[in-house]
Amino acid sequence: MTSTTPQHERAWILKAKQGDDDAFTLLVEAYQSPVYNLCYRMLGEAQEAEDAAQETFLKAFRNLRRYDLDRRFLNWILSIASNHCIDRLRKRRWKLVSIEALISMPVSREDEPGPERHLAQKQEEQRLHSLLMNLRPVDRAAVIMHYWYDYSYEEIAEVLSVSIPALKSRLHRARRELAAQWMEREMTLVQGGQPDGASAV
Amino acid sequence: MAHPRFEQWVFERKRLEASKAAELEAHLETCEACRNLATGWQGVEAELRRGRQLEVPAGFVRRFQSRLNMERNRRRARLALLVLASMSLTLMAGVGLALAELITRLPTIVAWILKTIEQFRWVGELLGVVGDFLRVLLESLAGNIPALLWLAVSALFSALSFAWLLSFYRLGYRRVEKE
Repeated sequence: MTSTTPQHERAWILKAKQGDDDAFTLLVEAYQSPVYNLCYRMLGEAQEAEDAAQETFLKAFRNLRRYDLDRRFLNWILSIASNHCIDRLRKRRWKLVSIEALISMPVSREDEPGPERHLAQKQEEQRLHSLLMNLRPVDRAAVIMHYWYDYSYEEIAEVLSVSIPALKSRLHRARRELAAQWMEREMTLVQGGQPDGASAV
Repeated sequence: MAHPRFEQWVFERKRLEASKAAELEAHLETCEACRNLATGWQGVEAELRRGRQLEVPAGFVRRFQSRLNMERNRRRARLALLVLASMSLTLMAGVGLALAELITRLPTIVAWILKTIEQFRWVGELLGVVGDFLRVLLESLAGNIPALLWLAVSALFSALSFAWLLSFYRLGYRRVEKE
């Protein structure tokens, strides 16, 4: 990831607004990771997440003239990404996600895990993913931003274009649902059953 | 039974004041629903904390650049098509308007042509008079000139024609051939 400071970022944005593709590419390099991660957490499929992340940057490029320089660029790009993912999820509401898709998740190369660790990580990802996939798209986006991006209520409300009380209510409902699901899954495991990630989705 | 206040405290447990934390602990001892919620949320929080930052697939930026280029080309093609379509439409409209104007003015044009022809009718009449005069002249001459003189005049004209053609040949064609 390209290191970025607010001065750099501002300069790149100004250049990109004037049609400088290289400057926009620097912005893509700088923000590809948060955008991709948000898309992945929202959609749960590596290929679809990449496609959504690319679409996000294309939309940003098309609408760059409308970007307000006083706003934080990351917030702006994440709001495009989250809205794009929410639209995608609404379109595929009735489409089931295959087990293969859930299993083929990308793995962090930070620690290059061995086979056992790799499998454990995959299982962890699947568990987490199956929890998130049952949430409504907007609630899911709120949870992801709150817990992975450490966004404040104000920032999430701005990104998702909802009021702060509405956001708090959504987060409360989402947490309750997540906790209930977690308990249900643990109970199934204790009783010797196999939690079915695909059916949960 | 739902206890919204305690539920909220469960989700914000780590940031609670000591008095509220104690009240919550006391409540959890007696309320099974809230205890289950607290256990479940604890598990979820732990899983959320374990969730790692995933690495972006290699070549993401390169793929974005080629996608951007494709998008640009598509936009250019769309623009060119639009310009072409608007030019064709303008041309068609222009031709249509010109045709309509022509049809409207057709009787006027035809009348003008007829009037012009009418104006030149006297030339035809004059030519007719000259022709008649020449015909009468030739008839009277043919009746009065003897046959021998006709032969002499014909021979003279033939000789003059031959000399004329020869001059063309010598002055023009042969000089070119020499060069």
